[in-house]
Amino acid sequence: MQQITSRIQEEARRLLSEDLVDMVIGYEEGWDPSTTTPCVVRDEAQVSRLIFDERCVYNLARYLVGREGYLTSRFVPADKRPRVALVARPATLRTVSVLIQEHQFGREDLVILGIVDGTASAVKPDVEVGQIEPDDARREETRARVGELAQMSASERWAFWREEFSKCIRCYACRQVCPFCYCEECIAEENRPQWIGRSPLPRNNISWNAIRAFHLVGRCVDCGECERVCPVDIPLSLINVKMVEEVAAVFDYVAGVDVEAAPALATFQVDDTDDFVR
Amino acid sequence: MESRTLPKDRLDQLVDALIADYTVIAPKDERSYGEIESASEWRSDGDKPAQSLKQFFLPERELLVRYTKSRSGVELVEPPSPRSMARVILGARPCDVAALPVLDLVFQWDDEDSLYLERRESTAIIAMACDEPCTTCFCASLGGSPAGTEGADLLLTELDDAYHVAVVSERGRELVDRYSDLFEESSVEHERQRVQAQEASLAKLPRQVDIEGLDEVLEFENPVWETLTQQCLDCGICTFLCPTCHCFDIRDEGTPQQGERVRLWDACTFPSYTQAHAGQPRPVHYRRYRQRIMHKFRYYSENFGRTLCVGCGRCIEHCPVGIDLRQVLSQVRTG
Amino acid sequence: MVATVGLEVRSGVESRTSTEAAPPVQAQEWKPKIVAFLCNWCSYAGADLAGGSRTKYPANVRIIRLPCSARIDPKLVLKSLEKEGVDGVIVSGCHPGDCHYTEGNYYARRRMLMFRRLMEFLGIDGKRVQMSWVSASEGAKWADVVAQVTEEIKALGPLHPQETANAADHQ
Repeated sequence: MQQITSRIQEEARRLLSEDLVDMVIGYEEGWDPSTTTPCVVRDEAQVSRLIFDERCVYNLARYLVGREGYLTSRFVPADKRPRVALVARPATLRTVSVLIQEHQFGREDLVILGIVDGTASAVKPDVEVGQIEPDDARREETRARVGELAQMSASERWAFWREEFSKCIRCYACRQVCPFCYCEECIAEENRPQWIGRSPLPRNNISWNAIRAFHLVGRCVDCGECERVCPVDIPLSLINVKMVEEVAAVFDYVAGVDVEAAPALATFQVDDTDDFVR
Repeated sequence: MESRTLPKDRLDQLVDALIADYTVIAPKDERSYGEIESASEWRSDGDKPAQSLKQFFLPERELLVRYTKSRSGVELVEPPSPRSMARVILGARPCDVAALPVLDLVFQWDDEDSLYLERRESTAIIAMACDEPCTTCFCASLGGSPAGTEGADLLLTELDDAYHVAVVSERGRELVDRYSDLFEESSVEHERQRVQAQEASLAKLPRQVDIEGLDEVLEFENPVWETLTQQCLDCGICTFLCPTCHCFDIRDEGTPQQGERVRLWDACTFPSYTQAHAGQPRPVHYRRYRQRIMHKFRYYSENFGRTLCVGCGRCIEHCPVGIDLRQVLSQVRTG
Repeated sequence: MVATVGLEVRSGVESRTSTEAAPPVQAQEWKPKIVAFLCNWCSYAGADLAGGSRTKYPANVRIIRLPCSARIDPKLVLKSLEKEGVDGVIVSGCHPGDCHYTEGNYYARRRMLMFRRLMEFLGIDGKRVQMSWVSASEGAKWADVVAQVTEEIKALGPLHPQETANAADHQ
């Protein structure tokens, strides 16, 4: 891990000193030995702040997009946007692929200092700064939990989710941390009409979480951030991973492994299944 | 201050007696305080819950009025007065309790917020002193303490064989009198143990932050705001978990014929906060974050003479991207 | 707070916490209510034909006309299911290959299947979210679709068991 940190610092120093980028988005030490925090380094002298280790979990692609994203900001004319280098974990590489598929920016708009883990990704780093082990254990665990839920009856599942979503306080951390929630006006903010009730009643909470999950179908790359940030421990990964599995099974599509592909719900095959249609 | 003791083996009896007479709210799990039906539901050890006491005085969703339109006009029904719901909060942390007198100031400022104030009137608070402050606690910086009594009616401190019971208020005295057969006198030895416990917990407080003169130093035009918290996601976690944040939105839920006017927690960090038809005066993150800090550490102080923070540290502990308010506050000073 | 001339304000006597929704209204004998989103060019015309031909079919369906099945946004389906008193949704469009806008129904097909799967995972029976291809000349088919879906939903029971068809929407 120390090697990865050194490589990142070396590359960041080179990119900044040769004026190839205006900023490097990465990770730095947090307020406590167990935490890190995302950081933006614009100056060669600050490069030693950049680190990388197993505490660095954030999906930094989140900072590229949206109304205030570095590559898409509404408040900065397109020709004045910064040239960005991004420290990218494997999930971030898949995220960048999907964002490119969705025309949020081009591959050439980003220098990627990537950490790979051997899993498939459409986007290759400009510089591979390190390798880590794939997080197979977490994925297996998530899949197992999804499988358990799928085995339950519909009413058991409903009881499970109703209980989970009654905890939701509508802090929107799940939305704000997700790189794919880059809508300038979220459906939850619309009030003419109010599609998703604002108050934290179980019914409204279910609608909020259901619609967010639906808006991620064919897009989610399972970075795990939504579940990590939820302050009331709702197992959000389960829904998103379930839908990743559905999309793979039905449309043979996985987000983030083919940058040329059209996202699953933005395309069709003439012979897509009709099994469920009368 | 008057004091008593409660032998440890009588704690459950006190809890049961309170449950028989009142709605009792205590820490239930890591996430929040909640109503308990038996002493065993009270999670009395461990860190303070992620959520504060705020929801019991300013609920996340609070009914203001119910309306029904009929041929004879519009009928409005207000909710029952909270005065009728006598409650005891048990085992609350001094920081959470100290937040309430701070909040009281704004809820009786230009308007008497009867729903909030009546809940305050009808709720007694038995606080519990902290023996293990968290690494994120900075209550002392805001004039508080792990053994603080502000806002409490009784403060319990765990001693060797008993709890020291500080009788902080008249209402606290009434509670002790009501259950007088459970309480004992407090001796010099008990007081000694109490002081020792207090000093031990104070010694465990992590580094504090210098709030002295901060309200004068905080400046709207300071360029450091623009890059100070670039990693902030603009979610509502710090605001919703904060015991002193109190902004709310008012919505009508229903149809034009029938529905409820409610108030809901809102957060100044949300991108749509202060969005009006004429526009959004704080369209970018740093403006909203600046507003948050200035409100808490300067404007509230200018209006009410108190800082809108009790140093509970939840914003630090639960920030999804690891922002440390203590660091932010020291950077706006120097930056 | 909001009292004005001619309006009556009185203190309520319910004793519920503020985080619950309004109390349920008296239950009547339950009849399924199904919301149907029909594409203008095929399914709506088909339904119209069924009506014009006086074909008998259950009156449990409420039709909403949209230009194309592709216009059906899951938020519309979700909002319908959320409403008290609604027990199921049908989305109906032109047959694949016959979409008035050439390919709208292909997108709708993918979208509705995924939406249904999501609802199932959350515990809402997939039979409450149905899709059909009904062309402008298939009045009889439309009547069949409604009849069959109504039977299936009847067997499932109300989606909102505490609230029935008479309750107003409390959003």
